[in-house]
Amino acid sequence: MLEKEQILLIVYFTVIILFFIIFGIVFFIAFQKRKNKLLLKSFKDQQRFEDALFKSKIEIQEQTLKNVSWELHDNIGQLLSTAVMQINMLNTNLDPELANSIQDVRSLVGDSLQEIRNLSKTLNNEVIQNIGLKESIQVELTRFEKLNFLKTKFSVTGDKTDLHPKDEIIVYRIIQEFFSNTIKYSQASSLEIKIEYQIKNLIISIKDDGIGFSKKNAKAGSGLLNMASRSDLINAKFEYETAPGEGVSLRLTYPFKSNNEDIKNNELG
Amino acid sequence: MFFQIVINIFEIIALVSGTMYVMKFKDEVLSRYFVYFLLFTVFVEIVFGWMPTAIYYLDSLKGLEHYFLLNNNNWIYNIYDTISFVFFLFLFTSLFNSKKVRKIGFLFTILFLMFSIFNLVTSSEFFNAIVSLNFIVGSLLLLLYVIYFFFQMLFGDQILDFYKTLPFYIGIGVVIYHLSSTPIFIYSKYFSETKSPDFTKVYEIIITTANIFVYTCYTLGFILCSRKNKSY
Repeated sequence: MLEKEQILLIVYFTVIILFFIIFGIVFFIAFQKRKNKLLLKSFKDQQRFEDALFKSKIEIQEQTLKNVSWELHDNIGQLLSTAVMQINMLNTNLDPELANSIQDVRSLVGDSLQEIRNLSKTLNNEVIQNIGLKESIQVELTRFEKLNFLKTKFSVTGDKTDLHPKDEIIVYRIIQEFFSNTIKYSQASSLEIKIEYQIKNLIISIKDDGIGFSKKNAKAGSGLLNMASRSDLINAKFEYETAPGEGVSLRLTYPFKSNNEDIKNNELG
Repeated sequence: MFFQIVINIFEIIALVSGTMYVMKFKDEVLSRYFVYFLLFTVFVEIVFGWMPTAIYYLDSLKGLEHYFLLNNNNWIYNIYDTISFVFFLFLFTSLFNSKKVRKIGFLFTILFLMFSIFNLVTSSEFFNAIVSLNFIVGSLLLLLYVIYFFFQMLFGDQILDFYKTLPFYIGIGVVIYHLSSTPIFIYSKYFSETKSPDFTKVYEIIITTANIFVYTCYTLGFILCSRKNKSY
């Protein structure tokens, strides 16, 4: 027979060992959980940091474009205006033969002035925000038509819904990037743009009939990446379709913001 | 006798540093209760701890011998241990953040109090040994509470400067003291030079070491925590 003390001692140590094993397991699990939480948090922080970085990059870009726009408008625009005035003054006391060619020069300078003012408008985000997305695109397209780059077709369907001003400018920059790619590389002769306002989404489709490119050979620096990351920033879906000789078509689906995303946006901005 | 003096010295050091700490941080109610408890401990240890020796040497106190049963002051310590367990359980319960857990903690503390009173009354060992069942249940319950408290600290921001929180030191000290001394107290019946001299020696060494450890822990806690600027 064991003594009462020995039984108590055995029970005591068994319970203690059991306790410590349970605590060890709980500690291990909890530690693991906490570690995972920390890793996840640091990953999210990293992502937020990158988002913020990209936003500030875009803001700087916008500021630079705005400055260029002011310079064009105020400086070069003023110079050209003065040139037009000088030519007008010259025009009064010249013989008709010379006057004709002077007249040509005058209209050339006048066109340049108009051109520079239009260009200045498309660069300045405040102007874009003031006149709206549709009109800004129209200005850009008119400019292309005038310069004989392309034939353009532009249509808007659905009821106009206001976008978040910050997003509007990003959408516009994506479209502008596409235009500049079309003009620089595609050798296209016509460009078709459709804006569809739906209840939940804004869908923008752009199509050119240029030489296109093979998706495999597309270089990262070609602006596609830029457009894609910009659309990520506004939670828009960015899709494009192309093949050599078949032109490029782009489809941008922008969801109108819910309140939730607005808050997220404010946090980042 | 030598061991008892050493223990008393360490207790008094802890009490003094605790008093200084409480005077510096007047708004810490729990720390103040803890220092009251230390004062109570010192009182019990000095008055009742030395009583058998005093009776043995002083003839005028011989009349008290009847109450202290020769060399045996175990019944005082049985009562003291119960009070001590209940105090520490209450102390740690009131440190729990979750309301639900706090309620459960109080419930178990009260259950433990009733259980140990029942044990003390019914036990045949009340006068000649430490009632070990109380000690075992109390130690395990205390271990549970302190570990829960540590977990709570681990998952809060407190972990960042745990060395500045007094309950951390109290918890470490109290748990290690009780865990290491419980096996000894289970056999406290044999604490007597005539029954088992070897066991008596081991008993004295272990209890003294455990006491030195626990009171050093408290003193260290008081000193380190009094360097902080804010109360916990």
